[in-house]
Amino acid sequence: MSYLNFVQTVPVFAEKICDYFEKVELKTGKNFEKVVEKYTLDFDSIVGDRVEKEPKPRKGEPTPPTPRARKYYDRACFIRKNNKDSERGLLDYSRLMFCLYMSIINNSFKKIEDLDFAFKSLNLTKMLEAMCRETTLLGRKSKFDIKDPYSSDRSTFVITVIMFYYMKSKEVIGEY
Amino acid sequence: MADVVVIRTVDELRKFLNEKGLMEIVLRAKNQKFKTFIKVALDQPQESEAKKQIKKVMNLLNENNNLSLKNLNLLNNISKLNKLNLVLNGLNLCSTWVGFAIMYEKLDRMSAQIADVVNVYKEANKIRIDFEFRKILSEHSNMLDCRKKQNYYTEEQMRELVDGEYNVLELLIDIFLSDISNDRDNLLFSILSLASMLSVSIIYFDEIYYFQNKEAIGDGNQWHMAHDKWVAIFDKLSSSKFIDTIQDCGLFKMGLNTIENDCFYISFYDRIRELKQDIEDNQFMIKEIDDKELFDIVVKKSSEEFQNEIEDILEKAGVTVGTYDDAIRVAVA
Repeated sequence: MSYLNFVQTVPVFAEKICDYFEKVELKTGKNFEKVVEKYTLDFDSIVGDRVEKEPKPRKGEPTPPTPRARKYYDRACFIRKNNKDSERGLLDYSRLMFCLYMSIINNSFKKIEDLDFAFKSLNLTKMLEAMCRETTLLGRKSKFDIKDPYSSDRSTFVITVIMFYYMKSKEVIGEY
Repeated sequence: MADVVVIRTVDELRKFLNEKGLMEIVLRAKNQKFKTFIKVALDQPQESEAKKQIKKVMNLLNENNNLSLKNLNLLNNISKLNKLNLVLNGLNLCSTWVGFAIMYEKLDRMSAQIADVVNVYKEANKIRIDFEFRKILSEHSNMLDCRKKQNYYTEEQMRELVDGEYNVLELLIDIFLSDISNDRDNLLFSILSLASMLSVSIIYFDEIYYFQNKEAIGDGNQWHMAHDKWVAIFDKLSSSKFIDTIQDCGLFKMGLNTIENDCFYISFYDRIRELKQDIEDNQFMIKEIDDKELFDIVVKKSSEEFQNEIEDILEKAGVTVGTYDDAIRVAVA
């Protein structure tokens, strides 16, 4: 793409995204802040239960170490509660949740104790496919309604894509 | 009246700063007359000229070391990593007497704290061998000083130095992984510095060992028996276990955000791989040249070329060599 095309495309694309979220607001009655909040809660709901909990100490024995994945999840929850409205907070929250979710996917959706924090480990297609397959009611119902493009569930997917490419734009180049 | 300028980020305001780095805002009274003048400084502190020059020079120098400029700029922005930058920026300060004098000063200042942590760890793990961080620093410094005077260490002296650096580094790595020290960034700085020192010492040792023993060894393994063990420590430092610990340290102990943390552990990893690569490149060069006299000429020539290259870059940046030395000293103060 030439530089001129790029310069013209960015504002047009930004406008399209604004239009999209405006339609979501009209359809669901939720403003953008609420849509973002739902995105953070959605990730919490597909990640939280699959992160190994802090082991309980046994009498007379030293406290066992907190699983690494739990430390990262707790940090993400802290950011969600205290700092999610800032651009940096949302970026950090998304990165931690994406890495946790990707590790869960790679562990066949079983509980994880550890995670791969490298940005290179993230695979957007795999994450979106896994989210499409998430279910509720003991597997009888899809967790996310993605048929309606302007539903709040679908907007979680859109924000996931936006946040992934935002991270990619800030990717640190290196060998690891 | 001038057009209205829409500002979205603090950075967009920077174009309005005057030569002193301040922005002046005028408030009008109801009668349109000036009511107050306010001087505004943006949150970033004003950089001294010396610091600006360091950044400029470091950036230019790093172009030669294939280090991503983007990464370097990001590292420079993370004030918590200023000290670590010294060893992450691609210039191996441990290879020359002048460079090491800067590192020595910094490391020596923290050697008492490191010794305390080492003693606690040794007691807890019943380790009796006596490894002294400060002794290793002084020995490395002495070795470089002897090289400066062309009074080179013997093979045995060099082997003892390499072994000593290896043992202390191994111990510091274990301490870092065991999570007993609260002073993790100082510990990491010491580890990275020792890794740089070890890389330099192995390179010098290989030169001595190869040329002194190649006739006797013939077609056998031309390197010292412990060589693979020494070099394996760079694999340990770039292992996923160690990098995981660095990621945790950046996020939880140093309070870095995710982008800063990426920059932190990726730069660390790349630097460690470079140190290992330096040793392997040197081995390749020794074997290719295979002649002590010729090898010495090549080394001398390439260091002269490197010196000229640095001077060229400094000249392009408008910095005199003296200013550069001063600037580096300001950076580590």
